[in-house]
Amino acid sequence: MVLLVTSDNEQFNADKDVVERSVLIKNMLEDVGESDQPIPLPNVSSSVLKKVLEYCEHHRGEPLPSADADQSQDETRKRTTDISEWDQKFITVDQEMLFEIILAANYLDIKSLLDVGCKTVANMIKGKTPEEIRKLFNIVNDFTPEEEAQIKKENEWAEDR
Amino acid sequence: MATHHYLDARLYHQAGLHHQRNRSRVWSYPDDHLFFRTRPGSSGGSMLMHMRLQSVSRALLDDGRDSMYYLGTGANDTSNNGQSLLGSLVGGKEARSNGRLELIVTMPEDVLYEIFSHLHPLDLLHLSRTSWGLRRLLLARHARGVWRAALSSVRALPPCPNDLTEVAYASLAFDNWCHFCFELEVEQISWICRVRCCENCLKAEFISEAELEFRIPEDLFIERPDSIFPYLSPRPTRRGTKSGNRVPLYLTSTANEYLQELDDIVFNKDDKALSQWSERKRDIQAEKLTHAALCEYWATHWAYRAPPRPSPSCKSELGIVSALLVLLAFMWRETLARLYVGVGAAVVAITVSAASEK
Repeated sequence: MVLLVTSDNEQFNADKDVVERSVLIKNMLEDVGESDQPIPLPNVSSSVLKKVLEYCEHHRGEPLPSADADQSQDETRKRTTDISEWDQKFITVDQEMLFEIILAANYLDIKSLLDVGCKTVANMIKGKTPEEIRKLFNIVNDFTPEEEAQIKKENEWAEDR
Repeated sequence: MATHHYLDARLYHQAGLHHQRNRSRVWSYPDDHLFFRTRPGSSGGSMLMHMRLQSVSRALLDDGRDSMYYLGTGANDTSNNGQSLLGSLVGGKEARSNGRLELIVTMPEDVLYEIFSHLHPLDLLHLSRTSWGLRRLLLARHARGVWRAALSSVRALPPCPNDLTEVAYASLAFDNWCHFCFELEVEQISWICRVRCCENCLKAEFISEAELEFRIPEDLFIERPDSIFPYLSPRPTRRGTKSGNRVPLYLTSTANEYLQELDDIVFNKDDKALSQWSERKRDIQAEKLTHAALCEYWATHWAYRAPPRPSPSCKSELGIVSALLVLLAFMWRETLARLYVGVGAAVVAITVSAASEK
């Protein structure tokens, strides 16, 4: 069992093979060796860690993507934005939580969870007009009408090539 | 500064803020107090916000009101539309510049690029047109890989040519407006000239071969201007031009540029420069022609196309077919009549026999 401490000082107990889906924690455990010391996670809050552990629990035992296999997998992985049914249900949370999960997955280095999060955000963006994207993420349009017309020409890079 | 602040919707109002907030930012604790949690590692923008809110809450307390009362009522407001709190909070220029406004931009760049890597070029174009923050991010030099990845994920799309940036190429292939007047739903792309042009701008932005020849310096003869100047073969219109005779039109801006260069060469009477120039332009044009052919093929065979709308030509075809059918029926009227009688008799016979069996 491994003891994790979140940013809001809540403690979580989890199996070793569950938390080791996080490459960060895996490396930490390898460096430290067997010890009862709790692992502090100052960038993760308890509610987010609860979700992350739920994910790791469900996917426990699945093979971790190895570093060298990354290149070949990358191509097929990028092409599809399919998310498995369980993951889809898991990731249907409000936007702030979604972003926090992504940040946590990035920090903890859980590739598959980061992938699910990024694909979900990508799916939210897909097929939307700029106006719809602004509404989705609460982005304020700070272009002037002239700038907007200029942007349509898309020749920004043209000069420095 | 303390991590938690007692807040409620009315405080937001007092601060001149909308009380939109995100459910996940408001934490319910057993004693029904509401906390506004600072995000670990959040920067100056939220500090500023906290200071503003603190001063407001102090002002409220100075009012002699009971703050607990507000905390109680605030709990009922949590169901308000859960959009990003930050988004509604800050609208000023200074907030804009530090980028706290857009939740998506607060993500680390590598995560954002990870998200972008799953997108279609058109989605990237749309994203880059939402705000300056995202635009800067997407048009940064190191974001080029994102565009390359997006373009390469489009099935069978020829690679980006050297004289175009990935953004410009994506815009050429996937946007739908005329490059000159921004009219929407323009289908005609001239891959050689690298423009998308509507019918109206065709006259203004292109010149005919005769006009081009007229403008080529006098003591110079170019046998085949279409092997040097980027051109476009206009679609045969329904009336007027004969479809067999498609005269090329030349893009005025590029033609002007080329002619300017030619003028200089002719002025110096430099034979060597002229042959170099023509060779270079021929190479460029040949490259463009090959690429354009590939793009044309992609556009007709692979590109996503909207379901065809019933066009006039479609209707006229239907008319011709139905007229032919009527004619055929008229010519075969005797056979048809016999057939009709035969079938009628058979039907009658069957019904009679069925009735008699009953």
